[in-house]
Amino acid sequence: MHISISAESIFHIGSIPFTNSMLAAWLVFGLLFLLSFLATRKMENIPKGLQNISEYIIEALFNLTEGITKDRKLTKKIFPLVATFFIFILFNNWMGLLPGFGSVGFHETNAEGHQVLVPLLRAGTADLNTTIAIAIVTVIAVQVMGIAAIGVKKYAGKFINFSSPVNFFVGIIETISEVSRIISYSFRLFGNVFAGEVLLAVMSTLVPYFIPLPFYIMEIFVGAVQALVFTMLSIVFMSMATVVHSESH
Amino acid sequence: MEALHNLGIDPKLLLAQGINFSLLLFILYKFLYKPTLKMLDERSKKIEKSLENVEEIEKRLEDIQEMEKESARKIKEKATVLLGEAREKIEETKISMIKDADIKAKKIIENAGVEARKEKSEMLLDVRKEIAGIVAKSVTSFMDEDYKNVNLKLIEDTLNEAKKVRV
Repeated sequence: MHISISAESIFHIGSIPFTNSMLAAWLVFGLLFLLSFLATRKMENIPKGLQNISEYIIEALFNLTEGITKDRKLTKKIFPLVATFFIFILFNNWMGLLPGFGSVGFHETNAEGHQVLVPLLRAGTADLNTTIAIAIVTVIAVQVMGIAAIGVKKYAGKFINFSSPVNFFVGIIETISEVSRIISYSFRLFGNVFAGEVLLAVMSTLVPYFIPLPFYIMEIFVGAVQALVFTMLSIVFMSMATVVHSESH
Repeated sequence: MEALHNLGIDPKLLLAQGINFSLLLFILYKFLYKPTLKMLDERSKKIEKSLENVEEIEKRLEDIQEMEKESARKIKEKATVLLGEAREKIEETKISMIKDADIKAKKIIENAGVEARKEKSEMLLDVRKEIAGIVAKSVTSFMDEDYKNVNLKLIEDTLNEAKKVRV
């Protein structure tokens, strides 16, 4: 059995490698595009079928966001982003559990001369490139929200502050925490999903029947929880960034 | 950089995934969030409005019921008045009719009395004439046939009879 931390490239477009996780992410993209198009194609006052489901999900996410921010205006601003985080991560996590992911592919000789299976599909979130990309998007969005809410000067004062040595060091710590957030977000998500995949692969190799089933159920749960954690943390940091830090605090 | 490479991090892939995500955000915003949130908002507004309308409708219904009661009461009152008037009129008509009838009856009775008396006197006259005729006839026949047997008493009796009839 061969386990690769990085996503394997299936082919190259010029100098850009096209990886299996990228393919899965594009599949999610296409699926979501199709679903959202179908759900909102014929909007009716009494929702039915797909429209009903999408309305339910969106309303639930909206209420979750509003419950954390306690501010309808801010919620309306950040909602599209956080909802996309949740839906994109959830679909990627769950899609990685589908049969065919990690098992269908082609054989290739690697650098060490071993014959290895290169899977055609790999969960999008089981690739650090995806998780880091969305973590960077989150952190940038947090900064944008902060600047939009309290102004460039005040917001910058959080990080660069010469009013006292203590505040100066607090500023440095704040800066580091912002940057480290990229790492914590991306590695938590990647670690959970990738570990789940490895676990399932190992269990399936040891006992192919029945035993992996509880682990699959657990992975469905983990996938939902990780999507929720990422989303909730984004909402919390975005709403925190819009609040002015008081001096006494 | 070696560590990053070992983890499979590639700036090109990172950028590609970032673009992928941004595109998804845009599309979902355009096709999913915007129409759905608009729909939800509109629906809640509609529900709010209909709830308000319900209050108004209930109020109007109450008003209408009140009006109905009022008009029913008025109709009843009017009907009672009309009925009373009708009864009075009937009573009046009845009384006048009875009066008329009384007068007519009296007249008829009066007329009948006069007529009867007239008839009676006429009859008496006739009877007297007849009796006189009969008497004359009998007297003449007595005289003719049996003059000798003329019975004075018979004449007397006959005359007495005639007197009785006269009474």
